[in-house]
This record gives sequence, C-alpha cells and structure tokens, in this order.
Amino acid sequence: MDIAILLVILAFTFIVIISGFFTVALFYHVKRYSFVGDASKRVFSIYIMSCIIIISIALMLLILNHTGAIS
Amino acid sequence: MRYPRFVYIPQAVFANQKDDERIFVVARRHAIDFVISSWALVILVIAPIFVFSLGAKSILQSVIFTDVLSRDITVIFFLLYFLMLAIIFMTSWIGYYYNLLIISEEGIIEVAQKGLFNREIYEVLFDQIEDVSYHTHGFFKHYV
Repeated sequence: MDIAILLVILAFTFIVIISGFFTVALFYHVKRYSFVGDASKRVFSIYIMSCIIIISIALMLLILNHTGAIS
Repeated sequence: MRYPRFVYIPQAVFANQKDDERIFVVARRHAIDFVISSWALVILVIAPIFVFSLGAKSILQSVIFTDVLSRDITVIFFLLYFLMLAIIFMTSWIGYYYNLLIISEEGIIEVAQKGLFNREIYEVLFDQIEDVSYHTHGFFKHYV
C-alpha cells in the first residue's frame, strides 16, 4: 500500500477515535446530569447525527477520490 | 403510583438531595445568553460554505486540488474542522445547560458546570440566608 494512502487512513482513524472519545465524555454528562423531560438528550442526538453526517461525507469523498470519480 | 407522561416526576436532581425533598424551581440562564456566546461558532460553520459559494472553489482548485493526495488532505482538514466545531458547540452547550439554580424546600443549590470536566455544587439552606442582593450588568441581561 502506498505510504501516503496509509497516512490518510491513519489520520482519518485518529480523528474519528478522538471525536469518539469526546462523544463518550459528552454522553457520560448527558446520561448522568440530565433530568426527566429536559433537552439534553435531544441536543445530544442532534450532535451525534451531525458527527455521523460529517464523518460519512468525509469517508465518501475519500473513497470517491481514490476511485477516480473526482478529478 | 403511575404518573401520566406530562406530569413532572420527582427525582434526585443534585447530590445531597433528601429522599422526600421537593424541588420547586430549576432555573438556568436565558437561552439568548448561549446564542450570544456561540455566535462565533455559527460564523465558523457558515464561513467555509460562504467562501466556496463566492467562487473561492476555483482558487482552491488551482492551489490545492491538484492531485489525489492534496484532495485527501483537504478532506481530512475539513473533517477535523467541522468535528472540532461540533465538539466545541456541544461542550459550550453543556456549560450553558448544566449551570443550574435549584430552589428546593430546604434551600438553594447552585450547580456550576465550568467546561466539560469541572463541576461545582454550592448549597445554602434557607436558615443560613441573612442578606439577599442582586446585580444585573449589560444590555441583554437587563432587558431579557
């Protein structure tokens, strides 16, 4: 495998893992300190959805870039 | 006893709450305070989209979109950028939303959430209160 592609995959994985670490910390706060009926879980679900969309778009762009669809 | 869904269900809200201690008010800062403090984040989210729509795409194409690796680096950069913004937004939202003033039948409890990993709880019983004063500062804090 090309070293440049390997570095890109490593960078992508590293960023996703760091983001996952912060997401777990945020989930801990929401789980522990939220009340019945407050907006914590809704805002956290919006955050999770936006993170999934960002990561999905980035992954899709990387795959398209390496399949030659983007030139 | 079964409660309907719309009824407030009493539950333990803070650390030293007694089993039968009722809570009357759970208050936090006005939402406008959070909106004002997070306006920079909104600008940082909109700015790349705005710059691209203004025609900077062609400039970027000529500068960095030249080969596969540079496009990869650009994608990784924007992934990092938008994920950082999402994390900063959520952290500041937790800082806003979990700063609470709780009035129970025993006293007043202030929960101060400073960032993500710093949380302080101050409790004052009604018997200990001797003097009450308040202070408002700034345009929005005065009128909202």
